[in-house]
Amino acid sequence: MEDLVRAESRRLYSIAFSILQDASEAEDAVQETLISVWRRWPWAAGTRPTSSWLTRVCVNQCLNRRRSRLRQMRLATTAADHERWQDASPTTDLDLARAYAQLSKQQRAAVALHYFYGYTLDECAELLGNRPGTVRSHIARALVTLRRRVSP
Amino acid sequence: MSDPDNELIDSLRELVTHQSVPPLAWEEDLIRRIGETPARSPLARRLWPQGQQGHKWWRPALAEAGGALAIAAVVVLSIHVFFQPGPSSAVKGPVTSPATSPTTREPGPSPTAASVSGFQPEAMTAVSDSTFWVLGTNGCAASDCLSEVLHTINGGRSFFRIPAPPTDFLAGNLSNPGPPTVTDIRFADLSDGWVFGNTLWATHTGGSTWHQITFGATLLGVDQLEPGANGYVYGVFEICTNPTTATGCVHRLMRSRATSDTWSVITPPGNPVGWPMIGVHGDTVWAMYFLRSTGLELISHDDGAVWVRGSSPCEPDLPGSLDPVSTSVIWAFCTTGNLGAPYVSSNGGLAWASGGGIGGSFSNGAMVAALSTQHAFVGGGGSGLSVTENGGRTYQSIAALNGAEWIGFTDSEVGYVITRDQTTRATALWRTTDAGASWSRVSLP
Repeated sequence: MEDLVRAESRRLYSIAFSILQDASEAEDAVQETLISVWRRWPWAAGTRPTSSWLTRVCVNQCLNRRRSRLRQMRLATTAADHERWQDASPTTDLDLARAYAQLSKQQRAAVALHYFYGYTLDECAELLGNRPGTVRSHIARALVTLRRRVSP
Repeated sequence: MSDPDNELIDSLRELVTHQSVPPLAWEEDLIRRIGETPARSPLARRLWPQGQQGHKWWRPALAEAGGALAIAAVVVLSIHVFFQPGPSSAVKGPVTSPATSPTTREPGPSPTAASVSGFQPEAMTAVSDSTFWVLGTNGCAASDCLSEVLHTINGGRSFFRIPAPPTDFLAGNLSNPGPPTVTDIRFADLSDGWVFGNTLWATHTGGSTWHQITFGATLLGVDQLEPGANGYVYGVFEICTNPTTATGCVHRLMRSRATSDTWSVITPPGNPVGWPMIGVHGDTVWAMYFLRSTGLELISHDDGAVWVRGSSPCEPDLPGSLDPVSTSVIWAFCTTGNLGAPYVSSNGGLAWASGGGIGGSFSNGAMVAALSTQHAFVGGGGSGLSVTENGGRTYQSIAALNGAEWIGFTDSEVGYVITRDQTTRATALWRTTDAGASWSRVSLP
């Protein structure tokens, strides 16, 4: 299991962060994914979960999470919305980053899985539990929104 | 996809993937946490290296798949019962106003029947809806009791004890000048946390190890400690030239990186003296300074670098507390010569309106936990707990949580109350996931 965590956790974190846009939420999503696998996988059968199966569990974790609007009175947060983009100094990058963060989680998941991580539309559909047409529609709407928000 | 779209996606990919790198040591922490989780079969545990198979501080019932199924069934049943109207095991709150009539439900013994021999929650801190820590004592409810910290990653369905802090790590009364004590806990993230009282202890390993921060043996106590954005944590410390005799003492507003133990003093313009009380939301910090006839509120929107002057809702020499909801909405609770009173600001603390209306009679020891300009809970310090949904014009008492000592929310729906039974002194932790409409007692091991 330790090997599995070392091999997969960073990749899963990257996907989770792309969807959730929150470091703490992404950490939680990956942790819950791996704990879920650890508890439920039939290790005794001598098999190991595949990367694609782990990815699907992780994506489901991300889509099913309710984003926390964390508060500070004894209840800590790790990041304000804007700090994620502190390195993105050009205004257009900031606009783009904010526009992406404002997409729906389904739209971010579809865009990230397809464009950032190279999954085909059919694979995205499998991961998101949608039909390929729905994924295509999420992506198309996301691109329209992004273009509209970053166009001068 | 058109060329402009390609450029857009390329830029976006670079932006997003550049940010998506987990923090240092996260992987090791993750491995440790998963290793501490009971697996489906004994064989699975052998997949871990030696030394990571200690699960003894997990509740035994969770170590079996059957136990997990039973818990899932209980959770499903609980949810079913929880949202059923009408009689059940639920304890009803006030019935005159359905919109503000929270219900409470106890899975275990009632607070009045509880023994003080079990884990007694005293303070809690959360980093998400599902991940939080509870500081308390076990085996006693008075001072001079060893403290314990429980941790959950599933919203309180199960807990495990994080490794014990040093043996002289005590929970007790801050006014006790004798042994080192702690009364409160904060975590900024899964790794970095603090417990504090008249001593300050820090962990950067998720509680695996703790070390004391002494400020050169000048620290008398930590009044507040609040994590903020951009990796900062803020604290109000009382520093003395001679802490043993409590002489030469001043209060200092200080800041550190959550990942480090290097604290530096924040000095707002004019170098205000007095006792600061702070509120933190993201990179916005509010500081109210109290000193005899001089009351001052200062606001910073950039992690304490630049400060502007607000207006303090409280009397200059009678301290209060702050509870920000956002950068613009903030509530305050101010003590007075007699009773305390809540105030609300919708412009970030520049101006305040009284939030103490009909039905709102609160002791000086009360606090406020707000969800919006309209919706807030006020109570504690022997006042019981009351809720307003109209900005403080009227309050509705929540009788079932009459022993409330502390209340706080992680977001607009999830919140916690710690109650103390006035007869047995037993404490209990309650949780809401519907903005306080109903409360369920958290079952602590």
